Amino acid sequence: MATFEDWLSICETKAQYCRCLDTKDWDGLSDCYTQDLVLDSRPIRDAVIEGRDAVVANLQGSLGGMVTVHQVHTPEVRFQGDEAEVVWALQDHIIWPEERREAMKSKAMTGYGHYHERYRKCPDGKWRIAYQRVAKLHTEMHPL
Amino acid sequence: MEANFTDWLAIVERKARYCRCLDTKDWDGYTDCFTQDVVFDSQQGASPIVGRTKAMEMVIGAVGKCVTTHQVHNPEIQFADDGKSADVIWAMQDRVRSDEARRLRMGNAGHTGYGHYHEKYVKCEDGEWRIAALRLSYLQMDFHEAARF
Repeated sequence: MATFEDWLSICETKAQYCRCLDTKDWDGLSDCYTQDLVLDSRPIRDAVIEGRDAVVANLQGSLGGMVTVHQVHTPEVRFQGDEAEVVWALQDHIIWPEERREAMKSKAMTGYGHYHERYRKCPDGKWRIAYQRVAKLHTEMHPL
Repeated sequence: MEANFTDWLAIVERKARYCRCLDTKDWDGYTDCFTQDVVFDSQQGASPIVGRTKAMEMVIGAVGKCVTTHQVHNPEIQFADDGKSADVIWAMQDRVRSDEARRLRMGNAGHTGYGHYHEKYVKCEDGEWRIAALRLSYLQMDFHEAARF
């Protein structure tokens, strides 16, 4: 049975995830993940990255120099003991840096899709992301 | 009635599934979001459709082959005194990238729309909350040229 506290903790972890990713607060972002996090980004970048430190370093490298806006909506949460399967609707907006715009043939992209995630309740009571995959519905490139 | 978290969450997750199933074209999952006798009023200027089967035919015919993304925000939920139904308003945004047939029919490549869902949910005999009435009112429709894609 879902308790309001557990549900809210999951929602606030995801809010922290979006805010820290977009403000480039890498310590805050790390705090959203379990140490043994698995990021399955095969649909987008053909990679499965294991471990929180490796994932954060990877995100810092790929998104650190860009303006990014991540918004999530309408969570569906299925609790299974101290873990929960969660789906979030996602919209992200990424502005390419000047030097990449020519190669990307666009100045920005807007993406729509869903996060499929698993959260785990940690000893300090906070729910953190242990697995994450993104399924895109549509990616729109903004012309130069 | 005093709001109860379990019922509140069931309604919110129902609408989450409504959006996800519509956008991933999971028509069984989408159909299960409605009561059999749903009153479905999504097309401004047209009469509401009565009955789930007819409503599903209309939706699948209109956007079944289009890329769609529906997002809803900040629900306002008013439970009935007996706790078995609720009036709900959702802020909404939809993005439709039309297939060729819809492009020809509508004269544009798709739209981004902003508005509100006005809905009635009922608690069914199996304990699930489903949509018994839906009306969509747009504040703004931005139509997109093909060049946008």
